[in-house]
Amino acid sequence: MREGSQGEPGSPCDPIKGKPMATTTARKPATTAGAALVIRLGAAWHALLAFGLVAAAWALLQARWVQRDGLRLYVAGLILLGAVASVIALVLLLRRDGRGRAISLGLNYIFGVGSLLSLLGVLGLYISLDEVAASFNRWVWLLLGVLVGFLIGSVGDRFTHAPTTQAAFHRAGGWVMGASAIILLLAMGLIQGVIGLLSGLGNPLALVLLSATVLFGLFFWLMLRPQIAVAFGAGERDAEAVSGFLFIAPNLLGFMLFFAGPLLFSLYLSFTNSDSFTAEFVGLRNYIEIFSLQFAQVPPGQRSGAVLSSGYIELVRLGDFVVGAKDRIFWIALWNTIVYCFWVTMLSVVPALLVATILNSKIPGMQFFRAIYFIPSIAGVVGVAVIWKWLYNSNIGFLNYGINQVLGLFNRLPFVEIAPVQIAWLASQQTALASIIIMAAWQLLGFNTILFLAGLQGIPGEIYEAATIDGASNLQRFRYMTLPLLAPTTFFVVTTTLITTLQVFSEPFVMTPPPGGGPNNSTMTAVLYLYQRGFNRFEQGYAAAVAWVVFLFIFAVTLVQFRLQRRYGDM
Amino acid sequence: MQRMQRRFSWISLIAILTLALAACGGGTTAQPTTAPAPTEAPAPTEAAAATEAPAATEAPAPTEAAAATEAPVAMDEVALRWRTRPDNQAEIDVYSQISSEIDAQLDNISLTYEPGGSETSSYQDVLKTELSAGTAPDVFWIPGTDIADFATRGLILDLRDLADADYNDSDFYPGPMFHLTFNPETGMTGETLWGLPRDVSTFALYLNNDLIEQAGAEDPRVLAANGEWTWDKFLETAIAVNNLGGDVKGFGMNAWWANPGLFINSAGGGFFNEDRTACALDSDASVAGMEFASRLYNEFGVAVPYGEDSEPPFLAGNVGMFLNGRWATPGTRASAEFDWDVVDVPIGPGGARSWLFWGAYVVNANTAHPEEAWQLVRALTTAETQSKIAELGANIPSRVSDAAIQAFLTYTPPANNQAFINNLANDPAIEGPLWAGSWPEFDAATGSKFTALLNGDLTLEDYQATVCEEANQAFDQ
Repeated sequence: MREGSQGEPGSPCDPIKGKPMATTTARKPATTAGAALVIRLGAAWHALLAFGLVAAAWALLQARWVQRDGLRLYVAGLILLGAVASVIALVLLLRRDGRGRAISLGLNYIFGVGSLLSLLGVLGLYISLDEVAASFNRWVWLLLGVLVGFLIGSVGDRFTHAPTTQAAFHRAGGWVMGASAIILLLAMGLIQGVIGLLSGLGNPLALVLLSATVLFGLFFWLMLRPQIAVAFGAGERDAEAVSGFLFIAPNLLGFMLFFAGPLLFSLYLSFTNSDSFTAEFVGLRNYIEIFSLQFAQVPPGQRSGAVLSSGYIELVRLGDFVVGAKDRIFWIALWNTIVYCFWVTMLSVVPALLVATILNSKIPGMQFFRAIYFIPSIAGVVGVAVIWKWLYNSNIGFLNYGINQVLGLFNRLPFVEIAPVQIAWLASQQTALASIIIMAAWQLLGFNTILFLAGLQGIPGEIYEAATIDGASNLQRFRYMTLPLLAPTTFFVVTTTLITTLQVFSEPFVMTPPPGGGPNNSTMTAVLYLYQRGFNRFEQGYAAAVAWVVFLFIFAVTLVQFRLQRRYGDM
Repeated sequence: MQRMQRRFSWISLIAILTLALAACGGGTTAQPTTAPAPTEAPAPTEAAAATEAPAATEAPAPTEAAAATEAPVAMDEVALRWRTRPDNQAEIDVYSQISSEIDAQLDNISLTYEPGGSETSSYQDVLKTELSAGTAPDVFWIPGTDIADFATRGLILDLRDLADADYNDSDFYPGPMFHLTFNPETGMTGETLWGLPRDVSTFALYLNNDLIEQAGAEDPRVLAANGEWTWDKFLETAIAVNNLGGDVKGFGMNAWWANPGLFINSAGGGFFNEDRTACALDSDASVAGMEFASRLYNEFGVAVPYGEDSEPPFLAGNVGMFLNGRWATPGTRASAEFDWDVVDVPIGPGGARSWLFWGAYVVNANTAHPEEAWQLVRALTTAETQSKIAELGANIPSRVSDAAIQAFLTYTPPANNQAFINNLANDPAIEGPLWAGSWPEFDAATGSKFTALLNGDLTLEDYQATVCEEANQAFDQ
């Protein structure tokens, strides 16, 4: 932002349009009587709001109908947070501190939107969206009238020489379009809707929510008024901030509600023994169980059970030493995930670079092949997994069939006799993970290829021409020019592939028998494991702890990658 | 330009508002009038309209989109949602029809049927999630192994107090009713009523008679009729068919607990100790059963690899004998293009002990209409309703009734339906929940051991030494 566009620092301005206001002074401007009244009203409103929120939190904590303790605590905590913010806003407003206005605007906005959405819910809007969609499908043909109206209006465009006729056509077209839209809305139940709305407002809760929506909206609007902004000495930067927050508010609210909120809730759950229905705080118990490992020496010929403490199961044996774990499957899942991640990344990144290099050449038909390579990326993971499951079937799958056909060709040679194979791709713990890796790499290859292709096409051709004139070979150009220049693309491709593969779930879930992860846990991955703990076994608290461990692991891997990129990025 | 933009903004705003208004109208007509106000706990019926369409997308039917079958709701009617896990579109159609008929029979109750489960979504996982969110149906089916988990967590209603005078526990097979009337607080059975069994089923061996004849093996049905259908004969038959070569396999079974469990039961062993408080898979008898199963895979190599779905190769005509329950009948009827039938499970050292599988209709503990839900459960388990389902071939009526069995025998193919009934009468092991532990945890721990043994990745000695190590942790809760 240019410095000159901001006016003098601290100069009050129209909070919406950002225009500098008449008063240009560093000290607080004089407050009009109206503005002072609004500020006092705003302070009173926040006192009332804080009281109401505390009462609501208390009522929620006493409520019998909310069966889930965790959810009750979580929501009550959020409400109390709002109450505290409201008290802060009250104090700051009385002190004429600009931060009080900002907090007031935020609270009124959030609670206003919340009240409105709740009101719509009480009025049955969400329940009926499916019906509206179905109704729209039933009556959508009425929109033909809008098309007819549009065509009538378009005909009028031909009469540029006769403005009156043209206007008449435009008017007639508009009427037809409007009438069609109204008929459509009536057919979809507009009148019933109005009746439903009016009868819905008879519900006391709806009336309370409607009043709350109006009040929050009113105080938000009042605090936004230029006079109030002036009273708080709001500058252009404040106005821009308010406008900016308003622009991102829908997204921010969605993020808070559907991402950050559940994320924090899952963190809370990870410290409980939640089974989805009840939750008791257990501190770090879940994490301790996950990370409980024991190392012991096993005398030859003795089983690990004899040396490991109760609750520990053998995880791995290294000569005379055994490593036991309380949650053996978690470590197996983590190891499988790492193996999967490594191989899928290798098999989908390196070949992708080679394929992209080939596709970057100016050979006829390359457009077609670019599309062909991209197709697997478009297909849904579940659909692809189901198809590959059939391909891998040891008895009737095409893969074994193809291998045996090839072996049959060799068997035609003299003195050659190779028995047909029946590889149990997904049923053997030696091959199951590899089978899933191959499928996943195949699916990711196309997307990575396209990314590399975009990177390659961003490299100026003149550099290669200069290198060619200097006598560089193809290999040298690839090693010393293409690879370094592609480093940012490579970093992006590797990072996204790593993150995607560390979260693998659908492939083993679909391709191995329920509940997934077999045979003998050989395809159990971290996310699949937490899903099973959470949903098969009703252990949401433990599953949340596993989720956070996995998150921290992915975060650490990505962090290391960033560090390496910074260090070797200029290679 | 600016004027145009402003006009467009106004038109858009009006369109959105009017659509929202239209939605308000739809909402009020869709909600049952008897449902509680939206401020109260989200009762299942309250959410009925909201979840009807998503239910179809969450749990698509195996063939077509499984739209919920909803009856129109009159203003004074109670709306109930109910759910089963059908295996195919034909079952969805029959359940939908049954729902419509019961809807017409029951006064003041309006039903919405939701088919659940699919190849890529677990029926139970979706159900548990909905229970957690408070949007599960009023009445739903769950397998017998889940009864304890759902009951002890308070997710399903004890219906004992709602049971009418004309209701009698003994109308149904005693095995399922033992668990359905078990009181976890007193450890006594007959005190509660968690639901009523929808159906029962047993294992049988599905035969490809063409392959068996081609292999020159004796007809298993004849052997069974003579009491000679033993493990040795079974193995001989499997080897003979397997020797046909190519892709042909003598035997196949899918990778879930009941299949290896059949050999364990028939060897005289079992999953649990007598009071079901500890793992008994490491007992000599249980291990003997797994040893025989392991030899089929590792020594003789006559079986489709454990972990592969054996049904497709069986239906493709590549497997001589396929172990499965009655629920495999509709698919075999539809797809098998060879001469097929079923036979009793082979006799092991401990007899020919199949499983008695069952599942039950239970009532959501959060239903706003328990009495109406109980009426629905009763209606769904009448002899008439059960016979309609059984006619499809997927299961056996759960009512103890000679008439029901006689009717079941007429539902052919397979011609030898008697095999299922024989297995039902031959002291089958009851599919049952773990009242003193976690069945999913036990299943996960033992399932990987079964797989490792049957795939040759674990020796029998190591299997016996470790199979209960992790599984016993399931009882520590």
